[in-house]
Amino acid sequence: MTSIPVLQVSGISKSYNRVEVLHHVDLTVYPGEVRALIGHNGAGKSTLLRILSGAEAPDQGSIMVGGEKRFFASPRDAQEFGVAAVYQELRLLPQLSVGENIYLGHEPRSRYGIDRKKMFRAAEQLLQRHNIHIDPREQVGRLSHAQRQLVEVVAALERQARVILLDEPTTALQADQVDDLIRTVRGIVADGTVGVIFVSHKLDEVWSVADRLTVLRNGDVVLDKATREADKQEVIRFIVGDTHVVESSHGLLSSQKGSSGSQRTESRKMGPEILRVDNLSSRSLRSISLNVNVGEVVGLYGLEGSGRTDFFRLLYGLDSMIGGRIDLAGRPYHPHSPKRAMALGIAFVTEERKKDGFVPMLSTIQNVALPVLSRYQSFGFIHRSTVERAVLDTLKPLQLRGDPSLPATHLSGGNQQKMLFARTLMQNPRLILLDEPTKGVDIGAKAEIHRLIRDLVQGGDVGVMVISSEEEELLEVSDRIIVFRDRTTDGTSYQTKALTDIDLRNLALSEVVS
Amino acid sequence: MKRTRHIPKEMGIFSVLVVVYLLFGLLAPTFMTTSNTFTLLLNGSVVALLAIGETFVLLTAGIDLSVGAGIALSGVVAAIAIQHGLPWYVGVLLALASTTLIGLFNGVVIHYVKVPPFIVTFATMGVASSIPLILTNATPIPITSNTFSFIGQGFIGPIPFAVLLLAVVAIIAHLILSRTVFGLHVYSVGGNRESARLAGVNTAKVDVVVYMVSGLMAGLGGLVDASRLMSGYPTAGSGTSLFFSISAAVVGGVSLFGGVGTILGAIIGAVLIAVVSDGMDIMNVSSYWQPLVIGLIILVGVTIDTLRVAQSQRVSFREVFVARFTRRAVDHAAGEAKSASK
Repeated sequence: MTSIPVLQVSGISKSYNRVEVLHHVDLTVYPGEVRALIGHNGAGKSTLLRILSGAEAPDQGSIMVGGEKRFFASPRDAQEFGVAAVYQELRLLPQLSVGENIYLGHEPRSRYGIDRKKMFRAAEQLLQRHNIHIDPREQVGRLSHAQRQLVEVVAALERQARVILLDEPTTALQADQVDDLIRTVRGIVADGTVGVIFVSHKLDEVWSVADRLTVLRNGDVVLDKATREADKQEVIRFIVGDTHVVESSHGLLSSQKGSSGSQRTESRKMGPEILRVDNLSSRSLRSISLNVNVGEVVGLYGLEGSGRTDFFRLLYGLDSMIGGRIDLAGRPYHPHSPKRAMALGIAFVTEERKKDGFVPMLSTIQNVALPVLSRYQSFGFIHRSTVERAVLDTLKPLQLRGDPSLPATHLSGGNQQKMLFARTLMQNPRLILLDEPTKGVDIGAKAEIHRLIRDLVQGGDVGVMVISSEEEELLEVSDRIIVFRDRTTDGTSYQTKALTDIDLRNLALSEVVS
Repeated sequence: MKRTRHIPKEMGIFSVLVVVYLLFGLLAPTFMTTSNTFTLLLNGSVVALLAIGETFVLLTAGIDLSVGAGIALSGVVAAIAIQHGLPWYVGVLLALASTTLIGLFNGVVIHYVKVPPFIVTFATMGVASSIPLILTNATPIPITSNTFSFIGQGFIGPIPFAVLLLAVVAIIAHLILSRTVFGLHVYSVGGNRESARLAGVNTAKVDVVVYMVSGLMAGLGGLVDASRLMSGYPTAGSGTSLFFSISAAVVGGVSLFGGVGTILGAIIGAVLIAVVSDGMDIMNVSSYWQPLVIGLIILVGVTIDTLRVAQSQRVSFREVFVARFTRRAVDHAAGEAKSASK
């Protein structure tokens, strides 16, 4: 490409408290190009994004947009010069319509104020041009996360953005929505005026969306290559750094599923049955039957809305059952409240860590101990040193990085997840429910969490159920997999060693198709 | 890094208090005497008691607007009981029971019927403030028990009994919030209600008990007030009490959106308000100016504190402010939109 880069970043450095987070980072995006930005959490991706979007100023280095040197004093400046960021937490106003959101701040006007007709017409055309089927009059609050993301991208384009920064846009999306997003992103760059920076943890996506990729590690650009010339193994090596690969190589990605899984199932004997569900139904589930034994990890696979999360919520006492029967360790169990579920030895780690996983202002120690405080008290007073010791003992094997006496928000996503694992362990549960345990977690921490899940059942007296939308992950951690379709399952399970990710996707669809 | 962390968050507002106190001391020679200091503490004790209760409620992301009305109710109930020949302590117990019941009602409706705290306590504010008027036909009831007068007028050594009472209550409240399981549950419910519930926290108990505590504190405040005036005024507490009590908590760093704040902070906030009120009295400034000044102090205090945190964490003012005050509100709005779409 000979044209002028839409974005050229050279020699950007940034330090916090004399710790260098970015070190002479160079990054170039040409018009019509998607540039993937990958790296561990803490590699400097988010700092770089914040600098590019004007939220923070670099200590050194320069940013050129469309060949002209620019200085961003604020996110507003960045937008003015054509750099727009779409973060995981979207900035749309849920009470307003799609059209109003797109044109917020520069609404088409008539003599009497906002020309709503014109606005919605323009919005409709804009959405159509990008093949997005959303009614511009729809209230944004009623859209799915995937749709909102597309609206935000379109809104950025409407504001004459020339560089769009997408911060892990697929984290909250289902497989088909990811395809939609990738198609839209490719469509945006197709006419050769706009460049995109696409931050992702999922390498498969990088290969299907990006023209070039940049790997950051510890604040340095360690790889800058055309995607089609790069090799996945090589990229992984650059992301994690050489030392990590040996210990966690079997846990990383799709292609490496295999021998470890099959050995596992053969070498260990299953314990007694911990959970048996017969013909269970509720408001959102119908005739579910399955069983879980002590000492095994059962993966639950299915499409969005197939009922997996509802099933967990019901078991944990958050929804009420209408019919059927549940036996927990051989005794009839009627879910009633989370408190009771916990008392009976069920632990639940939710999908939306930030929404209902932990209390942000409390320290990591307090968050871990919250469900079991009653064990460490007399007359209502907490034995603080005992609690602290117990929590730290539990955290030690999890290798949590961060100060556990600080509020939990100081931890990275992967470490927050470890914190919730520690909480689960503190409860000495018999049945553990994990809903998307590695959502929004970086690749290195992901492998660690997979190992932790396996460790949970090695101890022997607990059964684990895992929900994941990542096929590779389920194949990696489960002994067998049960597929939910259309809010039900008959409990047929598939041995992991006999499965591929393609099989799983097919299984999730088959009944719906036939 | 490690050391800065151990400076209590209340230091900021505490230094403001010291500066204001010294300033008034310079301006008015009679201000900085022991007796005047105890007088201002005595005058501030009712607001401080209310602020303690309000802190419990605010920590759960609730609000209690009925505390002012509780003052009148408590005083009138005690006065009527004593008027009818009951011993003073029965009057005291009945008074406390009446406001605690209001709190119980608030908590139960808020938790089980899921009416927003603002609405429920706004309604009970109306109800609780008219009960004393109905009971007394709007005429103050004199209290004749001499023992009762000790609550608001008695001294132990140089220290007014009400100030001692406040100190004891504050220490107990502080211990409950910082050392007990229940205290941590209060913080967890305010910090993230859903996650607290999933962690097995009894959110019903937390909700109901914090409003009962707030009611109890309003009752105590009402007793101090009635004892100082030696009568049950049906319109007591209808002025600035509510405003000052929430102000004290907020100035002291208690977040209106839950999960953040301490009793120590709220007490410092209440003392600051008492100092300003008393100082202005001594300097012959009309008392009508007090809420205006307090309002400005809230604005300036919260702004400076937010700036300070922003600087120490190296993030923008807006980020800190959003994190502190609006994040919960935004989350709520998003959650509501979500549930509406279902």
